[in-house]
Amino acid sequence: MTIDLENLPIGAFFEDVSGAIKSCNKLYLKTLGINNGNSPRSWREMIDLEDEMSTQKEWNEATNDKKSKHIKCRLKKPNGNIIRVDIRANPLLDKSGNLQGYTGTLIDITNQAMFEELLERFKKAVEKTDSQIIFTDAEGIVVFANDAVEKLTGFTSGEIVGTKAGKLWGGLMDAEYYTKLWQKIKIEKLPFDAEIINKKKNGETYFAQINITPVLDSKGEVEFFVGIERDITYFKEMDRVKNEFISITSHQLRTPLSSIKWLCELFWNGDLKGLSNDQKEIMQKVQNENDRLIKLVNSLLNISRIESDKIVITPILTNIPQLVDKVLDDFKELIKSKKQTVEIKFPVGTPQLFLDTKLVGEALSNLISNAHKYTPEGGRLWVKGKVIGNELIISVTDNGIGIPVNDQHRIFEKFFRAENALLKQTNGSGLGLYFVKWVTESQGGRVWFESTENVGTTFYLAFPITHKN
Amino acid sequence: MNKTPTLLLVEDEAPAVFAIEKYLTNAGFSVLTAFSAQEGLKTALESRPDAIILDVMMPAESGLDILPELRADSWGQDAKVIVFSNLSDDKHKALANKYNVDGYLIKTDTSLKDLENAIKQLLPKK
Repeated sequence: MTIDLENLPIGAFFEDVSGAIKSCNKLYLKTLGINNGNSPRSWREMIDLEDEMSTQKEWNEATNDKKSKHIKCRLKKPNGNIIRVDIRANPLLDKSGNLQGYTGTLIDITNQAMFEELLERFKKAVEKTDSQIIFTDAEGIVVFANDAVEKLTGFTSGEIVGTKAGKLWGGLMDAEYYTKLWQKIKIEKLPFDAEIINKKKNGETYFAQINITPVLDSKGEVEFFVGIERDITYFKEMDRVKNEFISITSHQLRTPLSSIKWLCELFWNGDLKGLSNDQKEIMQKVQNENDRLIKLVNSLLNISRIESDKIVITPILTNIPQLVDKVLDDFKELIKSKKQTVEIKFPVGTPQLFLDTKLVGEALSNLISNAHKYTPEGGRLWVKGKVIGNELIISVTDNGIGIPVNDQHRIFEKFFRAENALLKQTNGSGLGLYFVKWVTESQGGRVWFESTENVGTTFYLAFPITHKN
Repeated sequence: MNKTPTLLLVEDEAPAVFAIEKYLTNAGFSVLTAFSAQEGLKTALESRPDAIILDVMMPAESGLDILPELRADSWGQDAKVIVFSNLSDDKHKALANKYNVDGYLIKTDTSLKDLENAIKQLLPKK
């Protein structure tokens, strides 16, 4: 029985000892992109430069031993394209054992090789990355854990695989945390992103940022979970130290600041008869600067408390128009001194809201202070309220210097101050609007603004009306 | 003639004592001072002032540390106490409230006039 080379599903060839192709099938020609002629080109003439030395060496060694060959290399086709091929060849010997040539097969494995290479890279990336990565089945049983998991937790991959994720290193959060996590990834089939405290094999605890993503099959069912964990203990500690530093420093600063405040008060209550106007003005400036420092320290304290989750929100039934009146009362003299006018407008029967009155008062105070500061003499301020849908929207408007378009996207950032504000007023901390945003959003509200440079600005606070009374 | 109300100021910072004592004396109060928590407790129990102005952060013991002992005393259980501190965090406020203090004022946010008004609110009306 003879085999027809043409019927083979792969390239096939026969070459003599000199390497000349004596016979080949169409798939051989097609794979290499060459024409049939009296003597079709040998694949060996087409080896890509990068593989040439090593491939020729491998081939020659095998030839000397009259052995079978299995070679993988890159070939350069006449059109310049590089392909990867898998070549297997067997020696053809005559009756005396002399080598007559080789019969061989040739397969284009370019796609497969690229896929394998990519897969290998993915595998390496997952195994070697600094983040802890685990894969679990749909029930949360670990099927894979990368090197970083062992490095961080101290548990080997062998110890982890087969256990329920987190069984060995978790369990320190309250039950509600894990219920929420499972609800999110398994029931809602959405990624879960949060901070967590876990423990290592040696019992040491660490802070981590975790992200668990459910991977769904074509029917939308959870096929497996990918969990990525990043050790953030160092950053947490840095943050704690920073906040503690701010907090302690602020308290220490407040002690002399309050003494100066009272000494000034005593001074003004005393006998001022012998003082010149200059002396009084100097004393007034001392007092004003001290008040400025007090405000700055209070802002810093607020920020450090926000960041260390130490502010407790205490909602009580709050009458916003009354609160606005009270806040504006503190600005009466300042507003008068700049000959500004204020218009207050709230609808009759404005609903009272359950809010932390003190915090919202401070937020409104920051907005009104900005409106006053960044509006020139003789300017106008408006504080209004409006019920739209299920929200009370409070707006604070001025016809002041406005916020430059380029600065608008950063206006709620901590310590950020707009360029024109810096030129106008040096005494701002850049903490006011950050605080406003936090106060509003931490109580379910929204904050936004509209501003045109040299025309004016409106800040809006929208709070949900959850309890009408 | 009404008796001059007596106040006890428990405060370790000399400039603060100077300002508060002077102001409240001018405002018509008789002011006793104590520079530490223990001294404050001793003076309070001995002199039974009409109100105590109590600082928190002081050397050795905090002002809040003497509250359990003060409240355990038959006179001290109803003594009027205003905590006057720069510690404005909720933890300290909650601790003070546990011992039924009559006020918690933040120093930097309180003028001497505000303090005077707060004290007057606590004392029986003339």
